Amino acid sequence: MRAVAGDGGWPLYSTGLTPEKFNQRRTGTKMTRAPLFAAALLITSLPCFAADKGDAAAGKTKVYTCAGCHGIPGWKNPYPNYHVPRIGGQNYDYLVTALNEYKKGERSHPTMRAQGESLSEQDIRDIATYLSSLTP
Amino acid sequence: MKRFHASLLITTLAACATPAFAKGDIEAGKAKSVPCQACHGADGNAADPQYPRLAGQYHDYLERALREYKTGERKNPIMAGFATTLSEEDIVNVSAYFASLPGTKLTDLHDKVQGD
Ligand code: HEC
Ligand code: HEC
Repeated sequence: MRAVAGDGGWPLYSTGLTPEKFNQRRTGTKMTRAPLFAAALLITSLPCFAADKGDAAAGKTKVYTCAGCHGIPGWKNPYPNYHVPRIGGQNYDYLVTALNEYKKGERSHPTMRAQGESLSEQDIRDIATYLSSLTP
Repeated sequence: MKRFHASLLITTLAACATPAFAKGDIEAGKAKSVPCQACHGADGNAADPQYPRLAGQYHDYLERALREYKTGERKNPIMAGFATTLSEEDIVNVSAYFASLPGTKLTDLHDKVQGD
């Protein structure tokens, strides 16, 4: 079973709740322990079924910082001068590979390497799931 | 504010109207793209998710990627093999060809992040 705090990520992304909101809701609805525990078990076991893919909703929040460069149609990398690639609608497996290549230094672009290094494996899966779901 | 938006729109339109593939010879690129289609798809929209989609990608980014494979700055044994078969002119043409393909699935993230 996946460790809840293992990758330091927030395990309840799939509920669409932030930790704050989850706690508010938790205290607000006076849930008894048992169903809460059952719900927690269910949620943490979900990634086991969808082994590869991440959480698109979580990915959507995680691409916020990416849009500064990848968001603007026609935006260019300054030196050397070329367009920042379109990454929405790209294939899932390739996106995971590409981000890992930056992380491992197999691709050289300095800013993208820094981006890759800042992402966990879970972040990469979530982001790739969201990006690959986009359409023009 | 309205006027600002209008002028922004015009600037954007003008930028889009400038052909992104002014330099390359699309027909020559198409001829060179035959071996590429096995992995990147006949329409440039690779169906196998391990291969990147090239249709509608920026031509200058594609050129850059191919040059990096050729020099080894970007490390991938499969693509290094294909890129070394391409001359500088081929790179420009084949990039122009893939960038020009209709029916792209690719998009910029504009309007697609949290908060937009
Ligand atoms: C400072 C600008 C900048 C930011 C911020 C940025 N990128 Fe990039 N990204 C680039 C540039 C430039 C390239 C092309 C680099 C190259 O030539 O290898 C790129 C390339 C990529 C690629 C490879 C695309 C392909 O077709 O191979 C992916 C995937 C990607 N970025 C994802 C992201 C994600 C996810 C984030 C946010 C976590 C992000 N980027 C943030 C500028 C940026
Ligand atoms: C045997 C399968 C195969 C063939 C044939 C092939 N490619 Fe590729 N191509 C790949 C793979 C795999 C990648 C991703 C490599 C990586 O991770 O950097 C790729 C990546 C690319 C990229 C970078 C895309 C991006 O978003 O960064 C370009 C450009 C490209 N190929 C162009 C071509 C061209 C042009 C040809 C024909 C001359 C070709 N490819 C033939 C498998 C192939």
